[in-house]
Amino acid sequence: MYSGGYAGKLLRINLSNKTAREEPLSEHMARDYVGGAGFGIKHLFDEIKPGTDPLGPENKLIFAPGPFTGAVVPCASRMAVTGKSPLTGAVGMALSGGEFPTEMKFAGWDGIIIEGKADKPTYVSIIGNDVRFHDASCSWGTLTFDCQQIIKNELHDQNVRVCCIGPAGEHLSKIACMINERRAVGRKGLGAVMGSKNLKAIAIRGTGSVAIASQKKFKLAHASMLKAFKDSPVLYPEFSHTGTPLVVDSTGAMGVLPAKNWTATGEFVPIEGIGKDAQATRKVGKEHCHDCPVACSQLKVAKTGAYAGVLTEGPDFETVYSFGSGVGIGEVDPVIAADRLADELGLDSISSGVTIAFAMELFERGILTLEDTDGIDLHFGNDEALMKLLRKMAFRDGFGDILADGSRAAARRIGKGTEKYAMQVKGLELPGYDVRGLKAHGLGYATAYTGADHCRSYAFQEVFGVPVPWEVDRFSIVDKGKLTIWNQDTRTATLDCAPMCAFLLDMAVPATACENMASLMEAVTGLSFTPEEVKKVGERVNNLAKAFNVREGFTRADDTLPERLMTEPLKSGASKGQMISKADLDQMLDEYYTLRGWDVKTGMPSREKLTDLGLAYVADTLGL
Amino acid sequence: MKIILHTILGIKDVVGQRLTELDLPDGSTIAVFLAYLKQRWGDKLSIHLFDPVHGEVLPYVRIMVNGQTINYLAGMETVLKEGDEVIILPPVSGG
Repeated sequence: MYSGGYAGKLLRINLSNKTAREEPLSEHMARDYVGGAGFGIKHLFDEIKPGTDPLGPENKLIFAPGPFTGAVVPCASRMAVTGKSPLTGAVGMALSGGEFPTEMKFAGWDGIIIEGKADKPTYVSIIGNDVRFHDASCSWGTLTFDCQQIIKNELHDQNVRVCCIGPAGEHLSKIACMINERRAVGRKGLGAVMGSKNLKAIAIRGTGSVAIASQKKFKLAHASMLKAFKDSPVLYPEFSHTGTPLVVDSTGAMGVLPAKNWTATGEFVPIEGIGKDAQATRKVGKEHCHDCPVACSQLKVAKTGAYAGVLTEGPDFETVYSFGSGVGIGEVDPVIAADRLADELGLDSISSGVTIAFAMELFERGILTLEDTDGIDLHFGNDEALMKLLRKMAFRDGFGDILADGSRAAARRIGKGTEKYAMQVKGLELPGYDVRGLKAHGLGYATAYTGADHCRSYAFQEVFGVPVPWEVDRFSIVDKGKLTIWNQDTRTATLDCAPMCAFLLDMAVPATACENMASLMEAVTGLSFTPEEVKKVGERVNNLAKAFNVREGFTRADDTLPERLMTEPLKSGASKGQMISKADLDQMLDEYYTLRGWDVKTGMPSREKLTDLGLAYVADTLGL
Repeated sequence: MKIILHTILGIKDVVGQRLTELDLPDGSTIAVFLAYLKQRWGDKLSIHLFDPVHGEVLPYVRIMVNGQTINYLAGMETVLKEGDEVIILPPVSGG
């Protein structure tokens, strides 16, 4: 049995009957699923019936940190939030950092399961073991930053940590996020699930600590991690000072920074306007997650025009893409302002920006006119239109209602053959890497259980040239199925289930991620793991997530890419001529499915594979 | 022949701009190109590109010709031609 790391209990909150009960955390859960996304997906598969309405009371939200959270492990103040996504209908899982995850552990919980639906706007406070249900009539309707302050005031505790939704979640926008402090549980519309339950916020406070199974082993594991941090050529020398926006410069140089709804990649490359140096001119400070020595998060203030004085934490690379190059904006201040606005409204900055970029392309093509857009000029580069649409989307006002559920839903409502301009996979909008020049990254977008999600299968070998587990040619499709499986299983185990910050794998321990986690598991929890067993956790969770999606009706046809990426080669830049043709994608999928042990025609996991992973009951459930 | 040097971050700061047009003898290889850079910008650039002991290109520095990593061309013997763009990327991560 584990002797550290875990609090040993989960909290199940039912909003319908206002009850809260404690459930023990078994060793089986700890060993097979570790925490984070593992806990979330396990509960989701076991407790959600096929065909459940994601915005109905039967859907659940599972908030789960991990065994290292709060245990003074760097990069481990993370939590996964899991539910059935209203945006995709698939597994919805998103991660967030900050202080809230650690506070959950200090309050004594390895996870919180939210179920049911409150009869009126409610927030829940969790002060250690004391769970209370509060009338949220004062905070309902507020922006996320104000909401957090109102709840802190109501609870007479300025140190309570609050995770809440904004107007977008209340209006059930399927691209709504949750916000804790200035950090988002960003993607897959989980904010709408919270809104559908009339749950405005969770406030949490703890005074406990996290036990360490072996202080001696922990000191060694901890020191090893810190040495890896120091040895990285990029983590402290560059990344700690600039954060993620430096990727604008590299993707721009490589010709894979998407622009103007992916019509002008390699052609519109506003590095001088939105890249690392431009961002640095707006930096006023730094922020860090609990126990993180890197502090990559940057505080910035806009300086010009109508945006002067607006402060945001960020914008991170993805937002620089979605509110910058993606919508044809090449200046830093509108991006800062839009980042802040999206956070306050509780909108996923990637999906909202990409959805607006979609509308802009339709406007430029004449498919949408001023009559359709409430008189808003939607030409690429119009930052005023960006701000107006974000507000309209969050409140479902006029044309904003059409965009409020993402680009796929908008295309279906607009019709006229516009689905081909919606840059999404499984309904989730594409992140900021034009995968026509990054083939494994593209296969990752196609196969990730959450939809087009850079965090599930990030091909850092292609994007950053890291030769782990082997060196790759970013333009080649050879062995990219094998590489994608390595990325997905390694990341799922070491980053999503642990859960720990993605930059740990990418920069500090790329070659030893599973070894690092095995050492930490033994030191913190007392459970012995081999690196192979760590990786198998990732494989198990990815197969379980796949099984959930298959049970919901997803097939191989859903593991695809937008038509544009398969038919329109890049026209300019350092990836000119590249695309992922349908034949290329099929070849990579065949390899991927075969190596996964999944049926090549349907994508269905085999009984043998599931049994090998300890998931025979899943095979039974699927009727295999 | 004219070759475009495209670089970012610390290397760009030394060179002074993101895109720089350089004039090299016809038939120059990447090895010749790098030697030219070393000679023109000296130690300020060399610390970003070369191992100070062995003089080899640092393992985490990426060199591309027209977007393709030279490891998948002819490596240091890759022959450049008029108008080629050589991208040199220092270590980058995040996103």
